[in-house]
Amino acid sequence: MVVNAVLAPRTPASPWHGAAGRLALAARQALLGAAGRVALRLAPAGPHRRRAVRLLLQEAAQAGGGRVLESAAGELLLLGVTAAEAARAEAALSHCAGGPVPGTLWHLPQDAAPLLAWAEAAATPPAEAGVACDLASLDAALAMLPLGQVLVRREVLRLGPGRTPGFALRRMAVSRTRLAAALGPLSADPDLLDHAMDRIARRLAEAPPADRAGAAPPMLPLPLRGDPAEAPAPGATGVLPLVAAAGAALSLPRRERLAAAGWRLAIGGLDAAALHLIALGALPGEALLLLRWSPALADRAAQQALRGLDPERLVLTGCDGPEAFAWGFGRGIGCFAGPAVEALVNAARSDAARVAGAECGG
Amino acid sequence: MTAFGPAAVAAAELPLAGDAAALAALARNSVVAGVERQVLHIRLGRLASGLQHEHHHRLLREALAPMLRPSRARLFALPNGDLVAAAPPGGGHLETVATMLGTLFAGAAHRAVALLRLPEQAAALMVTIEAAVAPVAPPPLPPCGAALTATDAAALERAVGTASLAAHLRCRPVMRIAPTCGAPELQWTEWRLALPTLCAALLPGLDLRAAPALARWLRGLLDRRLLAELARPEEVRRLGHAGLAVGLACLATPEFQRLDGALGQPGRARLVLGFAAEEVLADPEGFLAAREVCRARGYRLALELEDAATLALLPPERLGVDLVRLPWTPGLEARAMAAAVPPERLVLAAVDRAAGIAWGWEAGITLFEGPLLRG
Repeated sequence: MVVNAVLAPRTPASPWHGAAGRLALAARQALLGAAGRVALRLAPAGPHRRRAVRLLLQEAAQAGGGRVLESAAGELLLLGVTAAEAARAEAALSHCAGGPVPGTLWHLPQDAAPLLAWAEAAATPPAEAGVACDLASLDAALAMLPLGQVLVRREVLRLGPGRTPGFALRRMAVSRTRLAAALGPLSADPDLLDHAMDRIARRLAEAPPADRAGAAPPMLPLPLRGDPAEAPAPGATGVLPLVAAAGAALSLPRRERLAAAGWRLAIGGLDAAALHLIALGALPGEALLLLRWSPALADRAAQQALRGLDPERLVLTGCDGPEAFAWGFGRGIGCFAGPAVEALVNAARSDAARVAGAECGG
Repeated sequence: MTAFGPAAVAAAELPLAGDAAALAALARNSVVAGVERQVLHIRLGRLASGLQHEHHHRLLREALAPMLRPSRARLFALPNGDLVAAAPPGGGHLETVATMLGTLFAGAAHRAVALLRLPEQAAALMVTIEAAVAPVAPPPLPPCGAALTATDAAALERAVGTASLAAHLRCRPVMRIAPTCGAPELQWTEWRLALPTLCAALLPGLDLRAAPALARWLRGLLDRRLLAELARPEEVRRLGHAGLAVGLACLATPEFQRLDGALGQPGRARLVLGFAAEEVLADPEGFLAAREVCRARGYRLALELEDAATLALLPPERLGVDLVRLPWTPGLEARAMAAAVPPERLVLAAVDRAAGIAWGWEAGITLFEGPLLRG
């Protein structure tokens, strides 16, 4: 049996680091034999997306004789494959991401100049504003982190054709981008960033921040473990990430305890990719579902996953324009959030301010 | 005989007494030495209560004795009142007795009498024995200690770097055990590092469940360690048909790429990569990418579940996995399971008692893994 021979002590492999330092050099080398080949550059993304992208690009590189490089800013470059291989990789990326993934395609050798210019610039790490912390001090850093630095307040509006818009919920969310920026290099690991999100959620649950009186009921993230304090206001909604559905975080006893403390339950993290995989009917029936908008929601798989679901349970988040609203209205969804909603709210507020100003002035 | 043969009926820890222990030993020896035996199981425990009195049993035993004598049969009385006769094959004595009893019990005959062959049906006999000796539930785990923190994770990372992990490597056979025919067949071997015991050894008293994302991170660390070891040429040659439970994070690592390259196309086709439901839910997009890549490379995919409830949430046909691995617990609902996934694609894991095999058979499952089937 191999059991005892297999695992002798050894030094752990260093974590995957970007090849930023080698970028310009590698780009120059690749250009030598790259006539007729292409380079595909993908914009920086959050750690989860980046992990998926890296995996798919590595596959394309292996199949097409190219290589994958990563810039200090988190951009990924697939270098030296055929145009067909790059197109296959792009198709796989957009299939997994549930929509087009922004990227730049350079044909070699004619696009060598912009590629090299990018490689020279990308090799320099950006000025790191994050807390310089190692893993051992991560929890301490998270305990000290000023919440205002990572929290974003977002309105959830009740909208519909022919109805007066109204405030449904006032969402206080932890911004993954801001949290990642605050934590620096550690947060490039998706699991560690998830952990950080959960720690911040725990801080919020222990001491929910006060909001101005008279605002819509608050919506706050909930931690995966432990019992949060009493809900800060009537109608308060607590959001758990989708991963909670696999374990004790959404067990019946815990849901009962949350309800007893005055929390209404919501489940976040649903998007087109998730709808490909999960059966929404198996999620707790009382939970509000936060569905992230992307054009891929119009796919047949996503439509099928939503069939039979009461649209009153859905909040469409990440709405960035009229297409999102139209899709939501078509499905009977009444609650919306995202940049387009913020724009609506801001426009309404400045209108109101102008009216008030005019009244004062007049 | 493979090294896995007798493991299927390993029953050293079963709380047996007297005849039951002797019968279990007979079943085990029959498998180990390949001795053929015919076994007649008379399920008196299932007869109508009117036939359940002590004098019925005594009369039956007395009636059986002369019939069994010429066949050199041994009679075993199990704690639940069932009788089991075992005899060398041939002669037709046990068949005669079975027919006679069938006439006697009339309508209930098919439930009251069963003929088994050893060693082929040793597992079925072990199920019978175990069902007869009221199973003892393992004591519940003691409450966990302090919640896992990032500081602990960093300490574990350092410790894992220098510790030998051999003691925490679990290598378990997945066997095909059919209720009707054949000896247990080895299908493949599951390899995994036991994170809970490893953490308990390196930093005792930690509650891993208190910080699930950190536990995933730790698991990624161990994945790389295991993959690096498995990618060594001599290990790759020995790996054969195998199952690996890994996290999504490992696929893009150099360690995985090395193993992937060393396996080659035939080796990849013999490997089942198992992803935990939690990994899928924590990163659906990452799972879709992993699925894309694993399929392109020729791996088979499995979904690793901790409980049956998650099966409804992640329908295997949507995930596009070839297999579902589910730990057996005595309370598992067989019917719900059969509706969610074809039984031939289910592996019943953590089978620590023969009752798990009986449960699996009821649900149509024939792939089993667990402490009961030791390698």
